Amino acid sequence: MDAAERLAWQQADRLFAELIDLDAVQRDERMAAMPMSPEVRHHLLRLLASTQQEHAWLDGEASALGHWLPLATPDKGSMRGRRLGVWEIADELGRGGMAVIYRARRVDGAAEQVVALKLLSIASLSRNGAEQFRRETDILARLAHPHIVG
Amino acid sequence: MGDITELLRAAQSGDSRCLDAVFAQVYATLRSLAASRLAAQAGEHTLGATALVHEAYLKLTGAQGLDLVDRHHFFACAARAMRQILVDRARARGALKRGADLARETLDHAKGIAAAEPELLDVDAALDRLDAIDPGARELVEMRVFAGLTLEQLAESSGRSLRSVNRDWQRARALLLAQLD
Repeated sequence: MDAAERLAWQQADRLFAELIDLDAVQRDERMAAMPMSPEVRHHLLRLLASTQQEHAWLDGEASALGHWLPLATPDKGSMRGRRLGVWEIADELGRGGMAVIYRARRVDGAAEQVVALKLLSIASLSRNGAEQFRRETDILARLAHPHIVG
Repeated sequence: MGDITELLRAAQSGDSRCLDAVFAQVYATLRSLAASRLAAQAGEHTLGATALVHEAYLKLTGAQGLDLVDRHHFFACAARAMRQILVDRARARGALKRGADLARETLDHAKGIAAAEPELLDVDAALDRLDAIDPGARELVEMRVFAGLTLEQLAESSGRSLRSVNRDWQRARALLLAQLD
């Protein structure tokens, strides 16, 4: 960030501080009376817009950041061969803070099928994690493709 | 190992609010706490960053704890140290994560639609930009996000009104989110 850019943000921040407590109408009136460069105006509008957005990772309890934390040293063999419902777990495909994804094979004889199976970690059981998982499944449920298992 | 109270006092009287020695000690303590948790828990447990920071506080300050001003500075250092540890780990795991991208493509796409959480490394870069604009705002975000301190706790330890801390938080939050774009 160069000096000019920094200055523009600092000016926008100062103006923002004057506007925080005002309602929308008062804000517009006050802003119209504030002299500022187009760049500062752009920044200021961005700052104001952020007050309308909710961000669970920032506004919630700090534990909402649980999914950023690393999982314990992975023991990649630990789940192999284990059976979950009709699926038998093979190798690990990947992992994030929220979940581990395994390759799994259908073993109930109904059909030969290999899928990616997502197992949630402890952190994902928190309120935010559960909500995110629900959103994901909602969206996945709407996707239709021969390679996607319902 | 130097006494943390003395180190914090030295930091206060000097130019830097977070003396390198304090940071180094807190960082080392947090790392070793994190490592012992990882060793102790086989399987898929996550570490609670906030819990680790508070455990480090108890470990380094002993039974008496610190007075409010020292405590505030301690948590400012500890939050920065925790951020560093998480970033180091995220970078180390980068290669592993890229390997998982294929499997997660659908989910990540879905996350994009739902405006989910940013990546830690993006937040880290945004915090660097925030620091250039307002170092105090950067510190405030770190203490909230990586040490889990509430605005009430921050008001108490900084000896300021909740209203005033809350205003600073609104500004810091807006600036941070703007830097994440």
